[in-house]
Amino acid sequence: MEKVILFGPEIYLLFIIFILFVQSLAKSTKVNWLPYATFLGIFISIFSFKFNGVLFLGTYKIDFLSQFFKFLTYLGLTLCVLNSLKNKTLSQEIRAEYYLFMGLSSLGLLFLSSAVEIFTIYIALELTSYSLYVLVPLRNQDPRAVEGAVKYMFYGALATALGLYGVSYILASKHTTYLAILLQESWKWSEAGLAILGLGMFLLSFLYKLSLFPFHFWSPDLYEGSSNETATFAATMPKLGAMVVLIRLAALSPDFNLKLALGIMAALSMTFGNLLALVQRDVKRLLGYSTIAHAGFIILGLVAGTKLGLGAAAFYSFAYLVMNLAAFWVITLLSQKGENITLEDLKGLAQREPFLAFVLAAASFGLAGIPPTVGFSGKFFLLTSAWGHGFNWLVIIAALNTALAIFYYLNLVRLAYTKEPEEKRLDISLNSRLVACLLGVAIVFFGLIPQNLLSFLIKAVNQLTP
Amino acid sequence: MDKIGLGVFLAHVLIIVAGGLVTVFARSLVRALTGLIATLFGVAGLYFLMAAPFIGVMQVLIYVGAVSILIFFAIAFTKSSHLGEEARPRKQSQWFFLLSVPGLVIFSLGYLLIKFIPQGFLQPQETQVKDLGGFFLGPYMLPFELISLVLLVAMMGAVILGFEKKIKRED
Repeated sequence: MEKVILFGPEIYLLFIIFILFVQSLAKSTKVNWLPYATFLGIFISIFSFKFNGVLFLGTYKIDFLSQFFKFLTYLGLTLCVLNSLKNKTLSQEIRAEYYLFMGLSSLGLLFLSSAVEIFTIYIALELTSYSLYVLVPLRNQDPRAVEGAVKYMFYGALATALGLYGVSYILASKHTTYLAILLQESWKWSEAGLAILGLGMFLLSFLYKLSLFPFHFWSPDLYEGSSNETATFAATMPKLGAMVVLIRLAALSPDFNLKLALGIMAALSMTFGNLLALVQRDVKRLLGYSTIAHAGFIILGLVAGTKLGLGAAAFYSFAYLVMNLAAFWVITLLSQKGENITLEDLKGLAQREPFLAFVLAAASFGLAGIPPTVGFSGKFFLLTSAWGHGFNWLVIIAALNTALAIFYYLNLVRLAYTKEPEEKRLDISLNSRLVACLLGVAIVFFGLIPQNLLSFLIKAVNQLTP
Repeated sequence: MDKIGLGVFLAHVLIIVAGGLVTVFARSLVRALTGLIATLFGVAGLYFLMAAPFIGVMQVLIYVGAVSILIFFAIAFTKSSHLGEEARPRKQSQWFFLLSVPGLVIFSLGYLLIKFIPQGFLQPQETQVKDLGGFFLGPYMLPFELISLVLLVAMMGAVILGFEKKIKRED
């Protein structure tokens, strides 16, 4: 019975989902209680940091890594819910359902953070994606939303089908799907070629979620098509689930050939994403391409495979979450009627809204990797972890790409601080400004003092390998 | 005894073929679906005849119970009427294609199977239904339960998106 408390964050979210389900049946649209509830969830997840244990016959593991990602999930969910309370492109009748699917998607992420058995991981991933497939087209009167959703769904179906096919190879050669047993097996190409092939294919379904080249085609269309609020969720949250599973799978320390393939994809992903982001006018589309570039960066830590590398990858997922939430928060506030924001709309932002301009600048500096922001520390840890493990060429490409990325990120800041005041008045509440400021401060704070978080995460990934 | 068995077998074949014909020729989609359900029931009967009751029960549960309901939902959501495109009379050439390609496949496959049937060398092992259940609800309990959640999401999603679309169309 004392094991029930280990399952606390999941049970709490299930409870929220149940209330939303009843509300949706009762056709109630009063969802203003939801941010408070998810905010409480953040504390529940912090409280459950100290737990440790294995549930459900070895398929579910509670450790530092899982609890950290559960905390990130609750943090992201709270901000996404706050962000979308004033969603103008959503019809009023389906508000409860909108949050119901958001909650179910996050529930899938909670399960992904703790799952240590391949079928559990797979089905938790499907739970996350299915809910997103439903969320994305819920933007009234815009056919682009449906286009984005269809692309996302078909790519997703293909990637997960390939992943499941890969699982059959792992199962055929290792006769088990438990990560704890797989950790003790050999993952050398000469001894377990079939299993490595299978693992590579299984990784695809998560690389697709990270939108790594060449599985990135859906990402810019999805961001552009879905409403700003849904894009905030789709751009940040599923990446968390993919990251935690990739970290767990990278702890198997597979063969160098597989890592090399990942490294090549990462290099192409960074270059391709950054080059295409240079020519975008739509800010969300720009962020979509920047996501592709960031996916390449995260792979750096995974191919290094060391404790520092995996810890740095976990740190970067936190950095990525905070920076993107901040950028999307500003975009959503600027878009008063729910329209997409282009670069022109940013002109003169510093005079109209100095606070928002500051937060946008912090987010852009962070995404570009300029000190003293969390993005700089994250990239620095990733680059140092990969140096000297056979991936020096990738580190050099990554450093060059950072220089490329600075151009279009700083372009955002440049436009925001140019003197072209427009007549447009923005209607922004005090609370929204406050949250924006908190995000901006978090970006700078964890850029200045990253060591505590990083050492905690290194301790967390230490638990992965026996 | 053999004659009774043959009679039962032929009765099942009759149900399957008749159901199939109804599925193909019915003008209304709902009627076609009832034909499909009859066919699926017939196939389930064949499994019982082959002394594989578990597969038979699964056939009824999964195909008759779940898949047909799913198709029915799809028909209901898309509001397909009996006056749609598929209700128009077919052209001569369409009949030719309809009959030739499946006919070729069926007869060539049947001929190959009867002519070159390989001798089975593996002895089938009897697996108790109880063991199967223990396997699914033992180590794989959590994914098994999660599947029901995924199905719930898929169904709710279909309902939401179906109704969203309807609202738009009426505008």
